[in-house]
Amino acid sequence: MPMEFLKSPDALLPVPSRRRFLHRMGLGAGSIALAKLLHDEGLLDSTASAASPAAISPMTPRPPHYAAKAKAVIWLFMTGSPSQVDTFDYKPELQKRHGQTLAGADPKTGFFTTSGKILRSPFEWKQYGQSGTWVSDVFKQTAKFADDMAFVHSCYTKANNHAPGAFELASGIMRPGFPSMGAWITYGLGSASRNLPGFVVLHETKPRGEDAIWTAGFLPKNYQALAIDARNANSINNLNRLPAMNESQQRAQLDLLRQFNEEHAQQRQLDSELSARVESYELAYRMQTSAPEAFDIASESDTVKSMYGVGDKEADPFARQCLTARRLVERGVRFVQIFAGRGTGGDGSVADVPWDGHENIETNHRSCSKACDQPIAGLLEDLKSRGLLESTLVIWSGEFGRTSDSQGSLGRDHNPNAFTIWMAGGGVKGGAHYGATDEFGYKAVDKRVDVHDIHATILHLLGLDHTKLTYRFNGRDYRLTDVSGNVIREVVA
Amino acid sequence: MLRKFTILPIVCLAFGASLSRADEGSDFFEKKVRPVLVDQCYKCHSEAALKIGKLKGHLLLDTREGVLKGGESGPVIVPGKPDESRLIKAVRYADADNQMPPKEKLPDNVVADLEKWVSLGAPDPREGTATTIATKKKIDVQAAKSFWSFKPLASPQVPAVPNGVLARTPIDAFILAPLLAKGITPNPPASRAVLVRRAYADLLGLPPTPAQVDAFVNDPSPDAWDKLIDTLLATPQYGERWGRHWLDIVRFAESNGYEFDGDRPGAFQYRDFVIRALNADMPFDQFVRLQIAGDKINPGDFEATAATGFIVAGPSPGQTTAKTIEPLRYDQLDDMIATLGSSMLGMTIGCARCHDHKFDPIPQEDYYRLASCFAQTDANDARLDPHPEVYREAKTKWDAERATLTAAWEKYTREQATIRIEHWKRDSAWQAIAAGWFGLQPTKAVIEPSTPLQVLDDGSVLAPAKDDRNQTFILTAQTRQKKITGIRVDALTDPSLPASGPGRGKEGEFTLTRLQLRAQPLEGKEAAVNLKLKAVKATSAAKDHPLEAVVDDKQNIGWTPEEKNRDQSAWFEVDGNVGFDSGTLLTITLRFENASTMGRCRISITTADRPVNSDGNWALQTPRELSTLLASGIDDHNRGEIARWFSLIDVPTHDAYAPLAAHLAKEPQPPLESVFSATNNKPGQLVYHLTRGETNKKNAAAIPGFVQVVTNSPNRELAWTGNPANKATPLPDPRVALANWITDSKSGAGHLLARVMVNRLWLHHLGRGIVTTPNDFGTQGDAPSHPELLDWLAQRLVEEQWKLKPLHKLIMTSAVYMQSSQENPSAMAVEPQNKLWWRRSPTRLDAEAIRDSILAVSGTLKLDLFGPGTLDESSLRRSIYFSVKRTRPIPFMQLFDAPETLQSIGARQVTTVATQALTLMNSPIVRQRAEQLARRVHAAPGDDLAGSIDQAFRLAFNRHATDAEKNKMVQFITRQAKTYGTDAAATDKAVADFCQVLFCSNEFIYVD
Repeated sequence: MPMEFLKSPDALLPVPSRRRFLHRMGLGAGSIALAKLLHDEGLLDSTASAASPAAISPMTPRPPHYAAKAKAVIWLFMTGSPSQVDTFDYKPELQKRHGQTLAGADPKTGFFTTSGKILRSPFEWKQYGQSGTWVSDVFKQTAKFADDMAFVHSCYTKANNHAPGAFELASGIMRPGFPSMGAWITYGLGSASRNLPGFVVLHETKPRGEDAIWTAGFLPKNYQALAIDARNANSINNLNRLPAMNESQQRAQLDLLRQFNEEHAQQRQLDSELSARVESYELAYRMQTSAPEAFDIASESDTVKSMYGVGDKEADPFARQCLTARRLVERGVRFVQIFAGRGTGGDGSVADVPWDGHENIETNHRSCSKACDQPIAGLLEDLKSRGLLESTLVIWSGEFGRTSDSQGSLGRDHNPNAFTIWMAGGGVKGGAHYGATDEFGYKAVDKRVDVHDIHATILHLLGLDHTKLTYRFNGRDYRLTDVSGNVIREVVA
Repeated sequence: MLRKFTILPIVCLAFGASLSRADEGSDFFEKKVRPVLVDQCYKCHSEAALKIGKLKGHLLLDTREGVLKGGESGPVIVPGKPDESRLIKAVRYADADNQMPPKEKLPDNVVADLEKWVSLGAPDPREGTATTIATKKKIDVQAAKSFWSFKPLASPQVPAVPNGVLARTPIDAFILAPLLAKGITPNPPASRAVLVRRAYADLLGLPPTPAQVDAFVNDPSPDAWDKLIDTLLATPQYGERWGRHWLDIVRFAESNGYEFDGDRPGAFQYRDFVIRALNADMPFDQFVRLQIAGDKINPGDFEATAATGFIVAGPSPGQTTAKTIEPLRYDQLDDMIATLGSSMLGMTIGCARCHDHKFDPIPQEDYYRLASCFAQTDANDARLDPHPEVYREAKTKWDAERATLTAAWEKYTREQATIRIEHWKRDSAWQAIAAGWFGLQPTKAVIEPSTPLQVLDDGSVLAPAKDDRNQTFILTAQTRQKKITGIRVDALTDPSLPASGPGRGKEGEFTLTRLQLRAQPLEGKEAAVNLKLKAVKATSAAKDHPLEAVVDDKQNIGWTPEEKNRDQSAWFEVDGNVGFDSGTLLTITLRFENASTMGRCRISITTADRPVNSDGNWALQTPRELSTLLASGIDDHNRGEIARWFSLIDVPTHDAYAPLAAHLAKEPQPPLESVFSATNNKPGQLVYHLTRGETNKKNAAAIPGFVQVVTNSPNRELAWTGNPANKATPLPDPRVALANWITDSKSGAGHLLARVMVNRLWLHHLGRGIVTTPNDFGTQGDAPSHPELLDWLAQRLVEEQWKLKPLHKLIMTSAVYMQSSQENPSAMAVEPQNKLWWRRSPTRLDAEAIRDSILAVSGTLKLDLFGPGTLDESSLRRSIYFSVKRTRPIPFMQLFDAPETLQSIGARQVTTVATQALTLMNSPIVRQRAEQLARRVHAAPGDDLAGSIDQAFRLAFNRHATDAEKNKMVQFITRQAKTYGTDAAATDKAVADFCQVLFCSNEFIYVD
């Protein structure tokens, strides 16, 4: 592997200051192939004579550890946490024993106190596809793609509240401050887009935990997310040229700047980052055109737009985000995370945690269904028809699950002990079901899967060995999966 | 096969009764046990698993020997005794800690088979030897003390330097030796123009003005450089610049993080403490001690308390549940000691939370003993006076004046008031007053916390007309009455109120959500009581807002009168017989939760028999109180009190009291400020040793202790903690003990503390540390490139009484600091990575310095020191005064690599991303600064363009523009101006375009 890498002219390091270079580019000694290569003093010294200006960037696409189908990820994050037993984890016992005492129920499982009485699922369930997958009518449109989806029913978390849960799902650790999966993956694979960042977050009302959820943590800032608030027209900061200036005026400015910087760099040839900075202005200049284009869905056909539910009263915001995600992935963005925004109201749902059906699971999930189901189905259909699903891993999850007993009489509280996620595309085994909860969907019992396992599997699907994707910080080689994680082979095609 | 078949029945027939148990057992093993072991256990418990590194618990189950030998926790089976066999317990899933296979329980019949197998004596025909797996070596702390960073400080000999080589300080001798050995001649000093820019950027994070450049460049004195350094070190902006470095290291922030990210309004005090301490050159050991235990070392002291913001600066969740409270508590402890370790000791102590440190000699025990130093520690909003001496002085003066006025008043009461009271007693008809309700004369009336309410003559209090909702009124009054049975609240109209009131709502409405009455004795030790109230009657009440709602436990629901704009009254019965012999102080609390308040209100009491009713005359309490007091005659004890009541109804007495009253109202109050800091408010709380860091696996309680490998005292930590066995002497607070240990350079960790700190100084001055991993001086970190220099500097720090400014100067006056950045092909050939410092590498300014420099160069920077921060990106103050809100990083800072505020950051990364470029090109804020710079250098249309250009160069780059540059810039501006039109504004825009290019240029954001 290292030798193959060496063949890439981009990987040759013309600048002698190895330590400084690694430091600047943010590649610690524990990093993957590139860093390993550069760590080797002998190799480096032999290249010292090949002095040409550095073209390498920390965002340069890097090969994975092994061949893999998934090249990009779209993570549909159902903020607030949908109920597994009302969406993808069918439990007929709940219907039968509605109102009875749930044996072994711990009323303090979630955030409030639950009743201990079984609450039936108020939704209609049907089987879909060759796989005969049971799905409730909350996701009746998404369910059409059941045979493309692999379900993991036996997930559990340590966290039982939204922000810690979002941190755990994002970074593996329920405390803020650790790099999120999007940052790790961009760090591992670089970005396939020259003109766009590698990691993009699409949100509306920020989810609880806010920017800390998608932080790059101690990873270099190259890997920080570009967070786009769907409610703002100009949501990339400073992307647009100042109104008082036209394009040629700015071009003249940048030409002058280039002369300045090149003269400056010429006297300081040992310092490669100076020329990297010259390049960054050219990239920025290009981004002014390319980024708005990527985020502008106006050029999409009406057919495509309506496939997602663009223009639909309730689905429109999430539909636009899903469609944007497809456009970004198409343009080489590595990782897109979409946070389900506001519920459609009237159901006590809270804008920063729309799926949080504490009071009434039925009205809450119906409302969220209207906002999310069609956009997700549209995204899967669109990716599929464009042949993009093969190389795009779509992940669906909340922060955790919800209780099988009721909170009050109609709601469900947080449940860290059981939830379902599904993945589609990107080398996932369609129609697979892995692990199981007990007969009430209350606790994961069969082949329990923790968040590290989920992360290990996602990295694996991208061709990354989770034990080798490391970054040294404060004396320790950190991993997304901390010290554990097992790849769930059964969901890999 | 056939043969076997034929023989077997015979054998069975012949020996059936005495079939060997071993054979039967082996058979059972082969049929029922081996398949289970292979399928369910070998994956983690076999030689094969060992080979691929998947072996768990050091347990091999693929040979008989392995089974019998057991794993790291000892044998797993006791042959014949399934109930005592760990393996059987594990497959039974009886114990939550020990369940195998981990993913799901085996079917019951399989478990039964395994039980039977053990009952049979665990027959096992499998041969082969099991590899003995070395159990993990226990850390040998004594042996580990020989590692370079844990060793006591050496006193290295300063190497001799050959004649003719430039060595300005002993530092250079250490630097030159390895360079000369390689035949490298280090660079000569940089020019004065370069040096002055370097020094300003380094010490202040700001560029020098052209005048400051000239002053240094043209200073003929030989010690010009020394003088410059002294001047800069004495500039307040030094503390802001170097304080920011320290804030990175201590994960400083001003909000909780997690759910809702609540603000910590008093957290900026820690930032200000750091700036002040650095500016005052507080010895670094004291700086450290105060941060760990300032609240205990110097209780009540503002600075010392603010210093402990260090401990509690980490994130803390806004919402916890019963299930998460303990894990989160241990996470907070982890945050405290991991930060302490990284920031002060360069040790990754956090790694020993779940097990002994894998690389460094830190046993898990040390982790929990260190954590237990913080067992009782928690965050707290202390209210303290930053300048107590000012208050004390004012108070002393005020006290003296009060003594004089009091003496005069007492003289009056003795000599004149007594006579007047006697007259009044005889003349007045006071005895005839027999009112049912007595209006209280409030002695104090405020809107919580301290906004005064105006007290009117009838004892009612009046609030400002503005409708501030969700407030609480607190009234106090005194009385001599006993057996108080009822209380009445009047809400009164007043012309000053909206729609005349009586509420402050738009239509004069209000909602009283809670009424509380508290009584305490004026003298003596009797306990205060909170009185239970019962609603009796209201003049009017809206349907959903009855009077009862005032005295129930529900918040947010209360009494709202149905009628508006008329006086309203409400009567309550008081439980018990209230009234103390020494007189009673009543505190009446009226809460208006999420509602408009009353505008004018009055409280009255009654002593009439129960049931309390709304009847009865109303009168002020004064005559009644006098009557009660006078009943027992005037004496020295009650004279003052009687005279005070009398002053309310007698003009001469009132006038005699007025000067004292006015003075009392002016009593100086200490200006208390909120200080987010540490305190010990969890008394009795313990920290336990946890297996694998899991809070449901508690072992013994941990006794405070420190990191052994950096402790060189015969009785471990006892020299600092005291001996818990010795009950006679009180033990110091464990945080104080820790603070003393960590700064003890003889036998505590002070030697490491000093090494880590001088390395940080070196890092920021030279761009790279002598140890390049500033937060990790352990085995995983890098070894020092110049170990003797590191120790020599650390020794110097201790010798200089831990003062940092002498060290700054020492480093900055060295030849290695002053050298130029020019390139040298022959040195390049020998030492291309410049690890030995033969040249200066240009350094990019950090986020704060870039932004501050833009402000400074454009002439808009405001240098106000200290105080609350802001999130407003257009602020003109230095960037260190941005509030650090964990979920709302300031975009500009974030872009230029400002650190995450969740863990200690020893050295920031320097990244180059296109969004940085976008910001400098397109941000309206940057553009405004460019326009301001343009106006600064090109104030009038007639100004000489070349001169303006030169001035801009001098401001931004601290050098003159060359003639070629001037020509080029004039051309650019002229050309650009044409595209903007023909008026004067066109040139202004073009000059601004040019100025903005300066901000974008590498020369601006890099310092040679």
